[in-house]
Amino acid sequence: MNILNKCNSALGALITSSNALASVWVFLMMLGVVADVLGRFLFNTPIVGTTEMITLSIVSVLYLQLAYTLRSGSMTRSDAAISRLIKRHPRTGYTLDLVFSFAGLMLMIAIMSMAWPKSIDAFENGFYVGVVDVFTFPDWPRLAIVFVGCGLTGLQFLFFIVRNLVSIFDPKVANS
Amino acid sequence: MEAFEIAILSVAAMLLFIYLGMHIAVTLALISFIGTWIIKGNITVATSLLWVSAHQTVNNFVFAVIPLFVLMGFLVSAAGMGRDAYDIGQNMLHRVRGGLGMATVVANAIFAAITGVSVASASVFSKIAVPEMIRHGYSGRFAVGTVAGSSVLGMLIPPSVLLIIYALIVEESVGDLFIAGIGPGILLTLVYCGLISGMAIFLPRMVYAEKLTGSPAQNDLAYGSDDTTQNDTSTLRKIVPIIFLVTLVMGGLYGGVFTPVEAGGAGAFLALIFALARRKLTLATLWEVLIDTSKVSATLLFLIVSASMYSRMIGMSGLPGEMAEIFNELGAGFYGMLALYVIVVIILGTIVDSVSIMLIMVPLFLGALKFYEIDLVWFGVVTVIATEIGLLTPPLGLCVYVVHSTLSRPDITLKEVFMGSAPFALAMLFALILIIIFPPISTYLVS
Repeated sequence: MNILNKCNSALGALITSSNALASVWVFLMMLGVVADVLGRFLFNTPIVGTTEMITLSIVSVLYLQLAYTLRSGSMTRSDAAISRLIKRHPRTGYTLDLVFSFAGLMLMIAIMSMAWPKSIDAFENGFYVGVVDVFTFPDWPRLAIVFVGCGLTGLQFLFFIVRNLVSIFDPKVANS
Repeated sequence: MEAFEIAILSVAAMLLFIYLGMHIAVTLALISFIGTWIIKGNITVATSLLWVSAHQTVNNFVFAVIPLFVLMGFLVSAAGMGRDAYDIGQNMLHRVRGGLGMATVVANAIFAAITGVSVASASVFSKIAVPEMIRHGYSGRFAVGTVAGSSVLGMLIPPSVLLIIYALIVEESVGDLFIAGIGPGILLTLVYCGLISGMAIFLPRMVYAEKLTGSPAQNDLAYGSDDTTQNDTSTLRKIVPIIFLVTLVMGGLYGGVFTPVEAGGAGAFLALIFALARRKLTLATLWEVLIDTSKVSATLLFLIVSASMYSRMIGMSGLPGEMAEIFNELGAGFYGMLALYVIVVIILGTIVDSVSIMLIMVPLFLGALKFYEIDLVWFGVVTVIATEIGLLTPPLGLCVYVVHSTLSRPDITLKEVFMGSAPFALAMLFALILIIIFPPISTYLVS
């Protein structure tokens, strides 16, 4: 049990840092939009590159925060049926929950398996967003964030799988 | 098997897994992946669909409206403007029979005009309005019903995250959807107020607590002039920031000064300034607001990503066309199809959250309904109201759960909340039928 707890808190620390980064990023997004608007009204010139930076922020915030939404139970699911099942038939309920976590893990692995080569590709070929000579920004960090975010989320699903496995064999542990 | 049959099976499997408790975004993405694979007989199409959706769907400037309006909603709540809205409503209406109930409705409508997240309204007003109403002799059931019922105004009156998401998935203007929500929002507010007034006069037992039925009409008046009533200057101080926010966001959008993204950014910034000026925002609360914002945004964006896979799978299966044909053969026509849509959406609303229902049902029915050249903006408003009715209906009405868990009082059971919100769900259905029969209620203001 001790090892499981240690892994959990290590994972928690990683996810919390990613969460913090995403939260600061959202704030910066807002400031960016406001600065752009002010620039347009006061000085008649929008700030170069704001649109590109804000656009790439959306995907970044999404994937940086994905693991935390899963961990904190905010990732949308309809949990009435399964919590009833866990209460009445714990083994069946935990098995079903395990299957669902496994499905999540599979999805994350599928996205990662494509995000990795695409990030490398974008890095090596110097893909960028924006307009040459005005503003450009490399595209690989955004794709790498997709990879990292799905990795963290996948680890969280993996943790749920292990926890459900433990609960199936020893329902008391889950309740304590 | 025909492609559309595979799509039907996929939708059925999705609903089953969602009901059983699989994460909705995971369900949509995985089953669409498998569905596409089978329809195309080729895994490469499915994998490229997955990758394109995962990194490209929301990689568009306009999707920044989601985090920005969510941020604005949380900042406005942190600034204590929900309490202000409630005080304004109470001051306007406390002398009328059933006035506190109506005040809750009006407060929700006012608050809805500055926030786009309905969960925020449900939790803010459960804490403020319910104790106040019970203290003034209302029954607990009626008090919680009023709060749950009126919290759905938050999704109808702009700004609204639900209207934003609809606009993004059908590629309509966010501004038009916002404007189309104004008329129906006002209509529903009036219908609710009429309902409360009618119940207070003709069915006082449903409104006031048992022990006070002797003089139900007195309750509002008797307690009307206590500490919660403020003088005019204080009301003014509360209403001015709200007017500022509404003017900036809606005025900016309607006047064409702001794009939706800019309106969201400016609104969030102004809400931040108000919260700071009132010293409501410590570093810790700001941090909480930012975490909540990015969490809610990530949840919504990930649902949109997976739903885009689903809607492409539905599109390539040709299911919407088949549905339209079947309906034509049955002679059900446009209204038959619309009625089926509304019923399905309401039923789904009892087990799934409103964003998910919208993302699942709109691609399915829109393809079929577009043969009738419907107004997409009006259809969005109809969809939002229909999903929100489900949020008040057992077994899983989401608003009801939020109210119940925020209050966590032993004397108010989940059943009480459902019973209390039932009249409001019926009132919504009434408003929805009006809007379906008279589309101008929603589309009149849209140029």
